[in-house]
Amino acid sequence: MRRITIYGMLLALALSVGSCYPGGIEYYEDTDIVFTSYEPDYDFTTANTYSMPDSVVKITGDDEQEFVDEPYNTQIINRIASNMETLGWTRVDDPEEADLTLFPASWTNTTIYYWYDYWCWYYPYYCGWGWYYPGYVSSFTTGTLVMTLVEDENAIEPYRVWTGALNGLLSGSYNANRVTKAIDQAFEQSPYLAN
Amino acid sequence: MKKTIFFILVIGLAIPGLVKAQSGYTSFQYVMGFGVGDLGEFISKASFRGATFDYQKEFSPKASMGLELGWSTFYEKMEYGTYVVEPYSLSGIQYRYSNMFPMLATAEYYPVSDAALKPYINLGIGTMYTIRNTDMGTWTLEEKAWQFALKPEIGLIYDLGGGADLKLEAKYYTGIKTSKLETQSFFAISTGLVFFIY
Repeated sequence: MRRITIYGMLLALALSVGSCYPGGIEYYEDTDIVFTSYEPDYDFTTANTYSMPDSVVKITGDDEQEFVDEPYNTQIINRIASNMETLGWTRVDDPEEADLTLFPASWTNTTIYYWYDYWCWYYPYYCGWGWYYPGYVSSFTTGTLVMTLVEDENAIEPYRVWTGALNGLLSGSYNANRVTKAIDQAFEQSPYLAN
Repeated sequence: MKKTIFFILVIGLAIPGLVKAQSGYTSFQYVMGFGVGDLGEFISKASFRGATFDYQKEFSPKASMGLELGWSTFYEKMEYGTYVVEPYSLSGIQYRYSNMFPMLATAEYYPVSDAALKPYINLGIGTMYTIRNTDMGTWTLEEKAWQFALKPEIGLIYDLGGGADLKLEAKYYTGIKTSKLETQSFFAISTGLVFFIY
């Protein structure tokens, strides 16, 4: 009986210790990450105007053109524009008159590596160059918003000078606070953009 | 991971039945760990999740040799922060895990062998397998390394009577630096039961 008791205690110990393995992510917001990178050789002080489309394209992998639904689309565009203005940039309508062009795009993803020259939908001028975006492989659905600043002047291919990518686990409903907070963070961690 | 610790303890439960009548003991310890050096910088919080299994075969009243298998997991949730490696910046909450699996051949010496409170010193040599994960968003960076490991230890075995003793241990694990991972070290305090095998 004594042996059974001791062995029973040990089995209970094994189960209890095993069951308290540390946890991790508790909330969807905890998965939000913001990645930015810039081209070190580019002198941001030489540029102070940019153009940006009024719509955030949704990359679906299909040929059909889709954009982020309103009012979320406008919220995203306005937030980006607000941050750019704070950093001293002036938005212009014609991309050919702008020093740089900012392309916003979004997608939800589970398993697929996307490769898409999405700005063909905005400006045929840019078609044919192609573009790589980070590939995401996961077993759950994430949402991604990518902002890319490119310079096209005298370039055979678009010259990407800045990329901001926001990624997080989707909760099933749009959370404006998560998106705007992440957009703000992307610009906050990119002080070199300031004019 | 739950399976791992369960496996360690179940093996421990089985061994006494397999060993023929020889002088020695098995013991099971609950382990608390405190990372130092690279491990302490990676995870500053103490580990309260760990266990070891020991088997010692006595060669004289004052000396024994044996085997130690262990597992300790360190975990820390970092505050939201920005990590910069020019020209890249990445912001988010990091979840850091480090799982350490020491597997050591051990030698134990008892300066006083016939007292109710028996002090001892123990030296271990072998390997330590480390799995280190840095989770961020839906991503994880995983580093794995087998390291040559050493472990000095001092402790006390207290006779509870009835075939089971109480053991208190203080030890220091070190996994020597490899090309994959810096030296991993932690202090550990553990306590558990000793079952003598006759």
